[in-house]
Amino acid sequence: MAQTRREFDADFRESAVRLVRETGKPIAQVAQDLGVNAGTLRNWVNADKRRRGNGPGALDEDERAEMAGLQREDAEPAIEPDGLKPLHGFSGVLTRARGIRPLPPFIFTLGRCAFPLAALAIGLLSLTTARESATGQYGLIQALPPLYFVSLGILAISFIYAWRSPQPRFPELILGVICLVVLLQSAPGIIESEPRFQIAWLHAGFTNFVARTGRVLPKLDTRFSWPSFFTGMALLARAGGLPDAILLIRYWPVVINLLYLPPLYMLAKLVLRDAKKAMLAIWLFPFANWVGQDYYSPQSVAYLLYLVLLCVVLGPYGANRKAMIPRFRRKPVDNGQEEPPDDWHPQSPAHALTLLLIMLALCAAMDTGHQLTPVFAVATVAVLVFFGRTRLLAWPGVMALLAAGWICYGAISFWIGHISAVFGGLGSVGGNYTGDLHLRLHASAAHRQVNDVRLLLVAVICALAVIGFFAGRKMRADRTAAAVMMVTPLLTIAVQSYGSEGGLRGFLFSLPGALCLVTMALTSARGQKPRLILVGALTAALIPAFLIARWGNEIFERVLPADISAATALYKVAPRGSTIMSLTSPATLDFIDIGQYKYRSTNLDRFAIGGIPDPTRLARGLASILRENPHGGFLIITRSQLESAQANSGLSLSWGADVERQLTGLHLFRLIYSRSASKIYQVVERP
Amino acid sequence: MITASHSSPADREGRQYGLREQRLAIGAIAVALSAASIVLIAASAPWQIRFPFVAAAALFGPAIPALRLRPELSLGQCLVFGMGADVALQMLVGLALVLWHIWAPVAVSLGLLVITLAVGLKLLVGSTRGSPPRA
Repeated sequence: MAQTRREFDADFRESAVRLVRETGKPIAQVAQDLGVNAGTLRNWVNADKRRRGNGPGALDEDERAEMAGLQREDAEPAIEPDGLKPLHGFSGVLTRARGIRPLPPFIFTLGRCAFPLAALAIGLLSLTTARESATGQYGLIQALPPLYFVSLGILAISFIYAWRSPQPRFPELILGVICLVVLLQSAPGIIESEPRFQIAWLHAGFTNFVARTGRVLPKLDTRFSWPSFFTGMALLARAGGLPDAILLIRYWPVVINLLYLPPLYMLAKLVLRDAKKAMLAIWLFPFANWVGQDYYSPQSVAYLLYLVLLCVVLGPYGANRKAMIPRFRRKPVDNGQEEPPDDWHPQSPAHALTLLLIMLALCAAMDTGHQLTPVFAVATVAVLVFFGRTRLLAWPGVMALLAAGWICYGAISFWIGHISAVFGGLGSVGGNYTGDLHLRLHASAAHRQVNDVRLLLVAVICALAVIGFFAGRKMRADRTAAAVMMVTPLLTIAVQSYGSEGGLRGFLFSLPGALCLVTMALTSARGQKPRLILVGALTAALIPAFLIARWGNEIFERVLPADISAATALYKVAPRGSTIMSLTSPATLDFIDIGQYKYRSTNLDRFAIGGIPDPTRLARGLASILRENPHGGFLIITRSQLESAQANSGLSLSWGADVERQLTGLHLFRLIYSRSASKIYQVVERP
Repeated sequence: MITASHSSPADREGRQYGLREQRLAIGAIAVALSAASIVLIAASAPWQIRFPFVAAAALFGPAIPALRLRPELSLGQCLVFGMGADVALQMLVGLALVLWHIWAPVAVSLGLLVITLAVGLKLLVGSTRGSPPRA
């Protein structure tokens, strides 16, 4: 076969170099767009830099690494078959060995994509063989079959292999992240017979109520004062003919985590200024997101809106010249590239108006959908303004006004009488971080270990982020923006009163910035091999850590069929208007006939003697509360509740049996339903 | 500091090159999803078929195709901002219906789907004629 060397004229070379210089795109990408060898283009760029002088032409660390990779690929022949692109790696070897016409590159891309797809198939199939009953004190990890871990290993190796390539293989990388999200998030949905998490059932009940009646009940539950999530889902459910919103909750975390990926990638790319590094940041996100706020809930969607809002704030409205403290202005990196001109900002009134409408819609939906997310959003955007990372100087004020406007108009029923709940935690940083600490102190040994893994995971991410912040000094990345996005949500916890739950949410909102900094730390290592070792080691550590941290509460966060049967039976026998209590929280209740019953929570501490709720006092106290309602009162006890009491409060299963003996032994309650450790007691009227 | 949205003259040339293909693809998806959803709603199809189409159409339109009408936005911005705007729109429209006591979810959803269909058709017509449609 005749082979020729492609000739490029001077104009073409100059245009190609200018494209690299002016757009800031990676050389590999420009080379791919133009259909030239990346190494050849790199040589032209270097020659251009040398012509322009030594200073600005010096390569930065990332470029040197890319150059080294390209030079290795250039070891393959520069001689190209007629009119075809140069061949590298396996395809080149195959072609040379057999002397046949090369296969199109997409065939090899498809072949490489088979690895993550195979891992996904193996993982999902293995999950169908898992036994739900094997779930133990360490959670779902005890029920996962060995093949599931093998599939995660294959997926990790295929991702790292694709990531190591100097030319980013985006189809494989994107597919790898998608498969990872599906594998990690779908595990309980496949293994467990009922959709997990009691609060998700409650939210589905709210959605059903809105879909059926077109009304909200702000006096019934705080969440109805921020109802736009429920109204939006009700609108969708009715249009889609969905008979019951409970059908949505099983795989909701899979869908919502997949939706997080595009804005996260955009955000990471804006901060890291490198597509390949951005892919690594979003690869780490599914592992780091162990806090479990992505169930069927308002905050799961509000978080998506928050991410998109940050993309607008740092994207079209990103800035670098109005820092309120000049020393925080990002210094231009001496890499031969000019600072971008202003023409990427809104260029016309119509363009600016479009972006304004998008931001207004995002903020309005956030403000009316979830009470806590606007606080994080306002704080983060305000601090980004302070550090000169956005040109939207007045936007934090607009956002705060919108949020306050909704509280004064739509959430008035919550506002009245709950001022202490809103501002009670103001300044109580320690209290908000250590809230529910007593639960951890009294928790079972296994549950304490699960909590330790969670704390360790947070500590590792924070430590790597700190390293990344200092290591990012010589990078093109904007480490200040990343640090702002990480630190501000954590500090915002001080102005709310959510207890340790708020701490979890603060960590979730800090993740986009934290993972950008972690990526800086991982990619700061000199040379390709140390970087790969770091990424591989972190991934290997994160897989089991995530599975324990995320699904470690599954022994009581899962919903058993017996729980649902008991709740359904309860609503059949309980007259409307009666009071319903559960022995301990959580209980899968309130997903049927919203607003028709009264719910009272059980404060176990009130009946404690020596730190343990006394069964006799508890039985008498519960009867006293339930007898207040002339319509009657019911007490539901399920296995999940007793498991929760054991894991969180250190109460033994025999304690539950003691309580039940007292309920009937003192003739305070009558057992009206019993099936698979789920029981319903009706309070007996006073003689 | 941000360069992902940075568009130099050379970058803009490249963007114009792919703009027609993007409009064609996004317009086709918008038309397909919205038309299928309208037909399925009108036919009262079972939820197992109807809901995935309606949900996908609600996520995709009308904001993503509407944003693609604007040449200044990159494809990534169209998809990400559009997805966020569509989710927000769904929530706010539902809220408005509840607050104003005009709960007609199917009719309003059909209205949104018709808007998506119209914008998708505009994108398709503009891209096949060769001249960029005006926003």
